[in-house]
Amino acid sequence: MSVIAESQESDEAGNKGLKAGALGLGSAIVIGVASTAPGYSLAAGLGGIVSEVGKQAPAIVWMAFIPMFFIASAYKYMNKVDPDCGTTFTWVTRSFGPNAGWMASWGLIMADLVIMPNLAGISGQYLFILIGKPEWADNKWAVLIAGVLFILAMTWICVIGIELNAKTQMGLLAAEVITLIIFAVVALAKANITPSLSWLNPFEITTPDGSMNWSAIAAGINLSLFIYWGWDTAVAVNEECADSDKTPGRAAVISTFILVANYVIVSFAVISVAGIDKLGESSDVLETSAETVFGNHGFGAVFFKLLVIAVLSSAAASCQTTILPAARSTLSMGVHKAIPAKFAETHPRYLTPTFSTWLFGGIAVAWFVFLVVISGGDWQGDNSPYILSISAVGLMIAFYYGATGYAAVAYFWRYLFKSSKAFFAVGLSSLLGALILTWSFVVTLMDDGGGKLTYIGLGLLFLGVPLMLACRTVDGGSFFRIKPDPMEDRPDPFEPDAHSPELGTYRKEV
Amino acid sequence: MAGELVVGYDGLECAQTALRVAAGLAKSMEVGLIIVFAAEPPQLNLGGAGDQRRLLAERGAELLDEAAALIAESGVEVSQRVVDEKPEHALITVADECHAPIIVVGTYSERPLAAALVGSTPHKLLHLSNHPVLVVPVPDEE
Repeated sequence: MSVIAESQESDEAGNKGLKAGALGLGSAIVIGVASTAPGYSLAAGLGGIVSEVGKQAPAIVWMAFIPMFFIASAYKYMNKVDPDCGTTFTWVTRSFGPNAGWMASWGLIMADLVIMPNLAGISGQYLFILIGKPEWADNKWAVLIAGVLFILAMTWICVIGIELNAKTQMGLLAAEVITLIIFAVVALAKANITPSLSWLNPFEITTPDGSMNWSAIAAGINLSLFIYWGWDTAVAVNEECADSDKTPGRAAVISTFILVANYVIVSFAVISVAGIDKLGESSDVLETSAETVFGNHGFGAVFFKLLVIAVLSSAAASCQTTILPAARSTLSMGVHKAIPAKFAETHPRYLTPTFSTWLFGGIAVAWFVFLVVISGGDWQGDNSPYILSISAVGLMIAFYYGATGYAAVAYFWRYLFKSSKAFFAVGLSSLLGALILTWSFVVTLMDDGGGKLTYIGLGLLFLGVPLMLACRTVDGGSFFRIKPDPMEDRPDPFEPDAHSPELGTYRKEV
Repeated sequence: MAGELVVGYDGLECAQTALRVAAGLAKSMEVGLIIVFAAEPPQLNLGGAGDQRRLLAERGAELLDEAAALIAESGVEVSQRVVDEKPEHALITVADECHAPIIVVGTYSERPLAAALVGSTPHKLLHLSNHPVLVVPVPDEE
């Protein structure tokens, strides 16, 4: 008998599934927009933004895109030389060594964790609104129970590896965006306050004495980071997968335009219908104003339900894109011995990192329950666990995106002064992105001045330090002996086949 | 001469049953057998799946060695393929390449509703395949 063992290794990362090479312009645009879950982002984020900056919310919404736009180049070029493995975790390790890489990855995981209560809460509330029990949506314990069930269900979906096919995702997204646009148009037509272009002007975000209110701007940007979260990665991955033509570049531009325009228009619409006083009182401005706009009978009622469904499906998709990267990061960390190997175990049947996924889901439930229990009576307003989640996720995003931006600048340092393209597109862009994010991180914290947000934000980040120290025992600390890639071995991001060396090629002697 | 038979294998009991049936069939048809392990991490355009992909490829290679050992006695000519795609697509791709007369898969004997929700490979394969598909149930242990 003869055994011909011809194991066909998987082909270089990124060319599978939603194969971008095979995607047309339309689908690539859809993916760029879908990456941020616009329906859910608006439902969750707009209330807080309005309560920070009032009518100037549209100004903050477009301004918050600036750091994300800049930081996307860090993602793009790091992804080019080290695609598809561990993202922030490996990139920061390559630039600044294992301790920094570990902490940056911890920031990413904490970002995913702190947003879960918000996802769960919004889903619970919208579910009750959908089934015609709005009074339950106002009951914090009912929402808690529904939210916990939602987290468990979504975790289970990630464990068994269900994934909607590309066409279904696109259909859902198209429905979501169209519903939002219809809502915005109808709302603007019925506006109680005449919308004014001055709402787009950031210089009108002022304190009562007329000077620029930088702390409100920082807080607003910190809240708005979350609505663009995911856009950069999607753009980077799309570019990476593409064959050669101009589709990905065009798709990135168009999807960006649709996304920003959609957010700006909806924030215009919401403010002109509900006014800022009413909006400040509720953490969920989308639902509040949708009721006003659509009413509760006839076509209006149908559109209202459609909007609720759009937010729900968008929350579910967003939940999946929150759990998966967290589990994927811990899997990568497990593989590289940065945390116990248990995290890299895959289930024999589902072939997913079951331990990583369930642990994340479990901690998310505990965190959600904790936040709701400590929230007391004030669970829907400005200090609600939901708004708190979004402020906290802004901090975490600023932390790990910032780390990624600095890592890209340091990693490509020796190429930055060789061409103006490298200088501007790689160096300056990543650096500006990282600096703006660091600024919003610092100002937001200083402004909070020891409030709940400071405790949650800094507390969760610093919790990583003892855990990291404890992980030094894993595999005799082999991960922590990894040295940053030596300068001469760092690839030029503009070379066609540039590729970083295998992570861990360079280690300190024992 | 007809192409080789293609059998999907993931190491679980039902896959072992399917493997034995496929080996017997290949022997009587006097053709070779290609054992396929296929798995793919979810995409969702998130990036960062490389390590998971590598783990899956390693696990697949191990499982296929075990599978080849399981049917070594049959004397059938065996080749192995680890494919980084969803199982149903991988099986069809391999079957197309080698002009397989039959694709063989095991089934967990799930209830139809559960299978439809979770999306079992045989279900999808029956819809998508342009090759004949043989679905092998796990024998009742009574």
